[in-house]
Amino acid sequence: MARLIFRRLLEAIPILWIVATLAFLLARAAPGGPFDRESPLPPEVKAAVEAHYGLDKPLIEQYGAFLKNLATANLGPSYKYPGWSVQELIADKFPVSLELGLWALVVALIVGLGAGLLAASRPNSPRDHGAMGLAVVGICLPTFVLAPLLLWVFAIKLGWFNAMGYASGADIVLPALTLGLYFGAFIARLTRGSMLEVRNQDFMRTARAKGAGFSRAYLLHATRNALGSVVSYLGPTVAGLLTGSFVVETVFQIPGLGRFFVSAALDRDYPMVLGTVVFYAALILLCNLLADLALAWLNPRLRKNG
Amino acid sequence: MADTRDMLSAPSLSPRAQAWGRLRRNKAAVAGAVGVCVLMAACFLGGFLWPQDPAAQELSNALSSPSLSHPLGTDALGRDMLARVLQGGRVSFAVGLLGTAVSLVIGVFYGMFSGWRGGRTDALMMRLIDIAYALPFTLFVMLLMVVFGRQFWLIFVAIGAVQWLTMARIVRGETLALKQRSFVEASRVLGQNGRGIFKKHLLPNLAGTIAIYATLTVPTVMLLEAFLSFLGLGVQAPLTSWGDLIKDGAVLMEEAPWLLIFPSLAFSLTLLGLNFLGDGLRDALDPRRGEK
Repeated sequence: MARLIFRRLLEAIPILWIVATLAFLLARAAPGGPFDRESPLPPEVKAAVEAHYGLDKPLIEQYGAFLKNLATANLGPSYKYPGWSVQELIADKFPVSLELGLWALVVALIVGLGAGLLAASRPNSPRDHGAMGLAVVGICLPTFVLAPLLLWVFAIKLGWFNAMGYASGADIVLPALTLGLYFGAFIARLTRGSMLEVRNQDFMRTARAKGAGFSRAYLLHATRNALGSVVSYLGPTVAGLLTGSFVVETVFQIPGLGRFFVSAALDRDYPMVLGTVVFYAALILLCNLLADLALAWLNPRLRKNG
Repeated sequence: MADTRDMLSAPSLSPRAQAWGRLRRNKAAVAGAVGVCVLMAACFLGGFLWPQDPAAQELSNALSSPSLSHPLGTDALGRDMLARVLQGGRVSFAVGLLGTAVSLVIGVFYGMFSGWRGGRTDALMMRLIDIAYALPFTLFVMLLMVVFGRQFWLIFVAIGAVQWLTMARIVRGETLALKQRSFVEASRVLGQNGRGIFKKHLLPNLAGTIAIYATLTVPTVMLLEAFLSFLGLGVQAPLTSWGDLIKDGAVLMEEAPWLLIFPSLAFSLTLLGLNFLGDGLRDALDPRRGEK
């Protein structure tokens, strides 16, 4: 277990380095600097601003400084918000996104596992077809379709929720549903598939032969084994929740990191974009590690080989 | 069960013909295929069937609800929404197909090369794919759009360039298995060179698998394009795509819900059809999977 964690953390360093380097090169390859505005700055002002941010130095020196700062978790100043460093902005905005993401994950797991288990408990029955039909519909409603639709129906037509903003607890319901339902649909299909695979295996027959009732065998023995595929899917889910949060936070006007990243991208605030990309990459790696640990906990065979 | 019936009624059918039969019996897959074909035909031939200029503005008639002269209403600039949805569909389908083609070429060659060489080359190439899976590619595509501007060709090249990983993995696995088969070995013993084996034996035998994953890649690519366009990082005016139309519709949904509903409907139906078709193809060509 400790070896697994150690190896994964060691692997994360080169991956983060690749991400940082690619992002750095892309940002520097941009035609037009971040201080080219529609009304151009006087050349001496522009030179002074660029010198302030070290943009007049050779590329390799800038790269070195960037990596050195990165190693100490210093992501540099934001161009768009003078006086703020990128890590301060991330620390300010990310908790909101994290809260939204966690609620969305809860929705996805409840809906996905619930529908998947229900469908697999009696394959090819009306309940199976109903649950899977809904799952297919869910997969065809990506966040940027579902978000405006939910907003229109529940906030504008029915008036149950606020259409904009993020002040009271109820404001999280629609965004979390939007984000969660889409991934819930995928999890439902996955759960059903792996439950159907597991239910015919020998240990299930053994459990039944030893006197476990259907629901005990089904919920305890089969589910634990079928959960593996769902847990492995959590890594990609987290990555998807991140990109989904760009859409959801934009539509529902939530002041989280996702919306901030999109506006930083549109404003060409390169340090902010670079810093956020590296931060997101680290977050995805961390979630993959957590998923691996959960997998090892569920399946003792994986613990040994780490 | 379906297999037994196949064997009893038509014992001499080739595997390909059997797969075709299985696909045609799958109602969802057939409906999906027909639906997608109809939508695609409408989008690409739409200019002839509905000869309205999608860019023609009629400001006096802005935001009018669906009517006989404008079946899907008009947008904030008085442009005909039916013509706009058809034009957006052309762009969405074009990006989907071209992006899939890019990912197909990269994935198939990478996977075949890796599987064919085997050994350390293969191990290294697959390790690279593992690493690539951990990279936040969507963010890189966004970064590309920010840096190099929102050009049409860049969108599908960038999306295609990040969507080939699964294809490469699957093709590599199949190639590894095919390599062991006696007809490939025989061909090699008889003096066929690597290129000939690629063309004569590997590609034809991989065609089914490639078709399945290509069908499943098209909706993924279209989804990513729509996502970018929705955030304002996709196609640029005067071009439009379904994602771009949904973005505009979301802003004005209170005054003019038809601006949101019709592009969303077109996009979701396309995804539905492509997913049904892809699942059906997979079940038809790989019956062991379908039986589970």
